[in-house]
This record gives sequence, C-alpha cells and structure tokens, in this order.
Amino acid sequence: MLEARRIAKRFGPVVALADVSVEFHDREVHAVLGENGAGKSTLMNILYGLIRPDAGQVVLDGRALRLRRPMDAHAAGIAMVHQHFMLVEDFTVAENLMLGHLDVGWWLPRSAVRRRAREAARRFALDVDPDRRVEELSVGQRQRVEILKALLREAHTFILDEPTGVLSPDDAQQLFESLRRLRNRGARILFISHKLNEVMAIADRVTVLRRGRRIITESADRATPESLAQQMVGRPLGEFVRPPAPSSGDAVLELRNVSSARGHVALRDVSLVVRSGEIVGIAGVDGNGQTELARMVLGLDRPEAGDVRLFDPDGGRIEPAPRAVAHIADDRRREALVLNMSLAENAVLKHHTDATFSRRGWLNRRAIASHAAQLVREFDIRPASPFVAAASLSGGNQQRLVIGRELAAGRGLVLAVNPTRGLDVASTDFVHRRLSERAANGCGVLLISADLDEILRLVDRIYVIHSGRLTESRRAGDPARPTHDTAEIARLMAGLPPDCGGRT
Amino acid sequence: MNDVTVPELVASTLHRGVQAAVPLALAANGELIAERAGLLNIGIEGVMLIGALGGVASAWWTGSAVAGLIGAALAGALAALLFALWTVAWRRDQVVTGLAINLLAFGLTGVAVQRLDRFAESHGSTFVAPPLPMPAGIDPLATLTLLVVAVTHVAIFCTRPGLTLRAVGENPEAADTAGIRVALVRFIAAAVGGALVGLAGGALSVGMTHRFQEFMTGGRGFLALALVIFGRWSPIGVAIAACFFGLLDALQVTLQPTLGDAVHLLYPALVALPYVLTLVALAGVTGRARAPAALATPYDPR
Ligand SMILES: Nc1ncnc2c1ncn2[C@@H]1O[C@H](COP(=O)(O)OP(=O)(O)OP(=O)(O)O)[C@@H](O)[C@H]1O
Ligand SMILES: [Mg+2]
Repeated sequence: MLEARRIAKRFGPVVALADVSVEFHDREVHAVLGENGAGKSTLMNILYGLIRPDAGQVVLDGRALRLRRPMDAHAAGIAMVHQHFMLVEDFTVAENLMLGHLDVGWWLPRSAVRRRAREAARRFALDVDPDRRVEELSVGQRQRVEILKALLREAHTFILDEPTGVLSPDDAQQLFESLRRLRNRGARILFISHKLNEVMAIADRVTVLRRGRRIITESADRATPESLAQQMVGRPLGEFVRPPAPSSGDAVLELRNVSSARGHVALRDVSLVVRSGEIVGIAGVDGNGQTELARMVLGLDRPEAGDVRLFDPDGGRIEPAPRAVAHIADDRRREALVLNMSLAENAVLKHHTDATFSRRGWLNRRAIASHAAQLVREFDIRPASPFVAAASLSGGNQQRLVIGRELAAGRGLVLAVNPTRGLDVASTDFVHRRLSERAANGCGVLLISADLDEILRLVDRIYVIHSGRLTESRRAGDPARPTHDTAEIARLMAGLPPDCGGRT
Repeated sequence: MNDVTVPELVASTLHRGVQAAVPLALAANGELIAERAGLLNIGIEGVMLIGALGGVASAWWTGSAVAGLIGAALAGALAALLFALWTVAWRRDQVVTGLAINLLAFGLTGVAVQRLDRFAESHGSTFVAPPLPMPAGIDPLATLTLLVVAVTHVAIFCTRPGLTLRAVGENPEAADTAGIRVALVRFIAAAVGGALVGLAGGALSVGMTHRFQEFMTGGRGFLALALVIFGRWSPIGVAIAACFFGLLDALQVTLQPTLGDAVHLLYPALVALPYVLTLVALAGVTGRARAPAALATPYDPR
C-alpha cells in the first residue's frame, strides 16, 4: 500500500494541499479527481519526489520514503506520466525513452534502443516512430511517448496525470487495456482525468480533492458522474448543450481551395466558411492538419494555392494576422503565455499596445491591473492575484487566463483549438457557455477539437479533417430536428469514405 | 626575406597555425562540455589565465613540464568548480558569475605572478617552466588536443553519459524526472570542461612561452566562446573552427614582413581579422546554430 499521510504544501500564499491523506492499494486503479487547481498534480508530484511537501509523509508498505528527487521514487518502483510533458525536444523518441535507464551500459546501443522502443510501442499498442525527433511530433504523439516512457519502467506504482487529454479515443482505449493488464498483475495505478466517463470505465476507487482538501474516497461502483461532479465543484452541475442556431449572416472567414505543403501535414484543397453568429466545428484525430489549418487562419503561413479571407464586422477584408483573431491556442504554455511574466502582464499581452494599456510606449499599469482584476473575477482564475507568475497557475487556470484575454479583445472571429483540453467539468462548461455567448453576439467561432463530444454539443456545422483534407458532414434525419450522424463522422475521421447508402 | 623559399614559408605558417589552434581548440572544447550541460561560463578567459599561472607554478615547483600541464588542468577545474558552486548550488546568474570570475582572475593572477617571481628570485631561480619533451619530434600538445577532441566527440554523441549530459543542457526538468541528478551532472561538466580550459592556458604558458605574463591569454577565451557557436556545439566542428582561426593568426604573422612599409597600415587590420570574421559569422553566416535549450538557465526544483 502507498500512503500519503497528512501532506501539506503551500506555494507562497497559495495553499495547494492542506492535510491530505489518501491510501492507494495494490492491484487497483485509483482515480484522483478535482477541479483545476485542486492540488492533484501537486499531490502526484510529491509522491514522485519532484515537489517536497511542507509537512506529511509518503509511506510505502509501512516504510516512510525519503523522496528527495524522482530518482528516489524510481528506486521505490514509482513511475509517472506528467501532465506537462517531460521530453527533450531535441532528442529522438528512442533517446527519450532510454534516458535515465541505467541498465544500458556506457555505450549508446542505438540499434538496441530502437528495438526496445519498437517493442514497447507494440506491446502497449501506442504507435510511435523511434527515430523521429520529439520536436517534430504532434501533441498526441508526444503524449504517447510520455506514456511509453513511464510504462517502460519496471515499476509497481504508475502515476498518470491527465494522460488522455490529447489522446485519440483509440489510443485511450489501448491505454486502458494496458492499465488493466498492469493492474491485474498487481500494479497500483493512480489516474487523473477530467473525463468522468473514462474514470467510471477504468477506476476501482475514486478520491475527490477540492481546493487542497480531500473530500471523499469511495469505490467507483458507488459513484456516478453526477455525484462526482457535485463533489468536485461543491454544487450540482448540468451539462451544457447549445441549441443549434444556423446562421445566414455574413462570412467572417472564408478559405477557398487552400493548399500548402508547409508544415508536417499538407493541406489539400481546403475550402470552408464561417459566418457571423455560428459555431463551426472541425473534428479529427490530432495531427491531421489541424495545426497547419490554424496557422493559415492566423496568417502565420500563406497558402501556396487558394485564398484565405478574413472580414471585419462591416464586411471589409482584413489581412489574416494573429492580432486580427481571438485565438485560443492549442498549447497554452508555448503559444499563448509567457510563463515568467505575471498574470496581469499576460492578460494584456496581445493588446498591450492598445490605447487603453499604453501611450507612446509607456504602459498604463493601473489600467492593466484593473483589466487583470476584472478577468480574474469574470473567469474565476485562482489564485486571484494579478501578480503571480503565469507559470505558477494550474493548467486549468492558465487556460482560463488565455480564454479571458482572447475573448475580451472583441474580434470578429474566434479560433479555438482544443479549448477545454485539461479543463475540469466546471471550467469546460464555462468555456462552452462563453463560446456560445460569443456566437450569439455575432462572432463567428471556428472550433477545432479532437474531442468529438465537445463538437457535437456546440456546433452548427461540422467539417472533418483527415490527412489535410476537409469534408463537410451535413445534418440529416428529421428535418425539424436534424442531427449529425456520428457514425459517419467517425468514418470520416478514420479516413474512410462516407457511407453513401440510403440517406437523404 | 628572399632567402626563405615558399614551401618553407608554408610549412612554418602551418606549424604556427597548429600551435595557435591548440589552446583555442582545448578551451573551446572545455566550454562546449559545460554548455552542453547548460552552463554558459563567460569566465572562461579568467579560468584560462588561472590555468596558465597554475601550470607555470607547478612546472616550476616540480621541475617537470608534464606536471605543469596537469597543474594547469587542476587549476582550471578548481576555478570552474567555483563557478558551478555559485551558479548550480546557489543558483546565481551565470553571466554575472562569469564576469566576476574574469575580473577576479585578471587581478589575482597579476598580483600572484609578481609574488611568485620574487619568491623564485629569493631562491636563486626564475619563475619559468622547463620545455616540454618532444618524443620523436611529435608535438605532444597537438597530439593531446586531437585526442581530446576525438574523445569528447565520441563521448558526447555515442555514450550514455553523453546523452545524460545533453539532456541536462536541453531540459533539466525532464532529466530530473528521468532519474538524473542534474546538479551533479552540471558540477562534473563544469569540472571536466574547466580542466580543459585550464589545460588550454597551460598550453599557452607551459607549452609555448614557458612563463606567465599578465593577460597572456589575450582574448583567446572570449574567442573560444565564439568558436563554440561556430562549431555548432560539436567538438569536431569546434576543432575545425579553431584550426581556421589558428591558421588565420599564423598567416597574419607570415604576411607581416612581406608587407614592407604598408605594415603599419595593415597590421591592425590583420590582427583584427579573426575577430571581424567572428562577428560576421555570428551574425548569421553559420546558418541555424542551436544552443542547448536550457543554456544559462538555472534549474530550481520545488
Ligand atoms: N510551482 C508552483 N508555484 C506556485 N503555485 C503553484 C505551483 N504549482 C502549483 N501551484 C498552485 O497550486 C495549486 C494546485 O495546483 P495543481 O497543479 O496541483 O492543480 P491541479 O489539481 O493539478 O489542476 P489542473 O487540473 O488544472 O492540472 C494551484 O492553485 C496552483 O496555482
Ligand atoms: Mg494538474
């Protein structure tokens, strides 16, 4: 049994964990749930020796562990998948997989390393090319590497901090299979996820944290997604579903036969239109051209053929540019935030040259601080201090900050790429309401998401992206309440032709 | 002038070029090892000076030039460990610390050499190093440098410790979570790198002039910093860059007498040439040179 005993940890004024005790049994998948900032990652990092607690003990089979660094956790048979990837971008996948494995001798046995990586990829059914450099991988592929790295360790305890956030449903299923196998062989698995249906499917027991305290630990059989959500948030929660509002407004974004071979996936003859007042979804498995498409819309890449048109509310054409679009970026830590700068500075980052925030090169500190304070209130960012570094916010709170900043700028087009990745139930709900509100106020929203449920819940029209090609999936069925054909979308996502038989 | 044939001139230029390249290659390789671990030691000029002085001192004391070189390496390693103590253990800023080491070394070696001169004199000797033995006409320092470059290259790119070193310089947090002791690796890299930089100083003093002069490194440490970039953080690349600059330096010496009266005009330009070229190269001629991602950033576990 692995025990966290009376663990406490503060970061400056922020209490991340207050006197938390949990027992993790052998042969169980133990899910740890909680809102963004509840302290889940902090607790896991303490069990892994990456963060030292202010008080409390980690006890393994009755013996207190001295965890000064992750190395000590390895010695105690603990392996971890980190929420924020711990990969060396300049290294190949194989090199990353073997890093820190002492049993390989002095020489880098390149062929052996490669073989081992291939074997691991096959054994856990997570496909990666051992010779690719991590830098070139999509987030989904990186997540596979991060997972393989942990599974490769001869460990008895596996900690997985949001391993499924960027995985395709297929990969997630494979991971669950592997986890079940490990558990049946006696391993202990600590699993964090915001997707409650996943948790119900895989967990044996569940612990809920709220604001640094343990609320409950119970058997998963006794819990329901609703009861868990209620315990996490502290109040009941309904799931938000946006009623479709088909729009005939003016186009805010139009792509005409756009092709480009730049980037990892070539875009091929992509055409799409987003009108004001509607939410358009782009579904697809990660790494099928989503990044490249987003870069086109932002004007970061120019098409080799075709045309990208962006319009302001009066119908005039504007140049595609990052500042012309409200952009909720895929990778908040790299694309949206400057982690060493404060919350307030990040809150105005893209608009700091606007007249409200600066004049003739001088920043208006007061305006910036009050703007940040407003965002903090409106988007419930915790801790509610404009002066903390963005780096110290939990993942969910970083995302709230980005969304707050981007939506506050009042652009005609919102480009949201996986906007609720890593967000808890309440925050996800919050983001969905905000996006829908934006559309109702006349913005056009382009939602690129690997989460099909999210798309189905929010959008008016769906395109599916596969290998750089877009296919529109039309609503069908009852003309009064037409619905999307999920089976067809799944086929398109897998690159199969749409079913042609028997539909109107 | 006329009694020297062209082949002789070429040979002497090459010889001088190699001699000039040796300390550059050693120093740049030492710095490279540290940078691969994420340590940017701009105090390398000072470390080199300390090595030069330590080299002469131990050669004079023991009466052996080889012991002098070992002393130079040890002195360099100690100076670099000081740097690591400040920047790794106490997480002080690397640039500030490097600057401090330079200033400290400039001052201290100047004072120390005066004392040592007088001390040697009072013992009826002079503060100089005996010449290096030259078995079978082979330049021992050039050979050693070749060996160092080859070993460093293989170690960095083909061994597990090399992978560990690079991981620490690219992403210390990832290295930490993989079970690598980041601080330890950085200390070792600093010491080994410092030993090579010290040896470079020893090559100048013990190997060439046999004595220590104030500021005798004459900016070679700073040049080595640039060579690391030139060579794109690869030991062989760095060695090639060092040879290029060594030859340039030798060429300048060779050309001096042939210039006649124009020498007064051209001499400063010739001396400045390597540095001008460095500037041009750093401005982008080398193409995409990528420094280790975590260069000059302290790692601060929570
Ligand atoms: N290094 C740090 N410095 C300062 N504050 C921190 C640091 N790491 C975490 N915190 C704070 O501690 C609290 C708990 O953070 P933690 O990352 O454990 O949350 P979490 O439950 O994992 O959330 P999420 O679901 O968003 O990942 C948050 O308020 C966060 O801002
Ligand atoms: Mg977390």
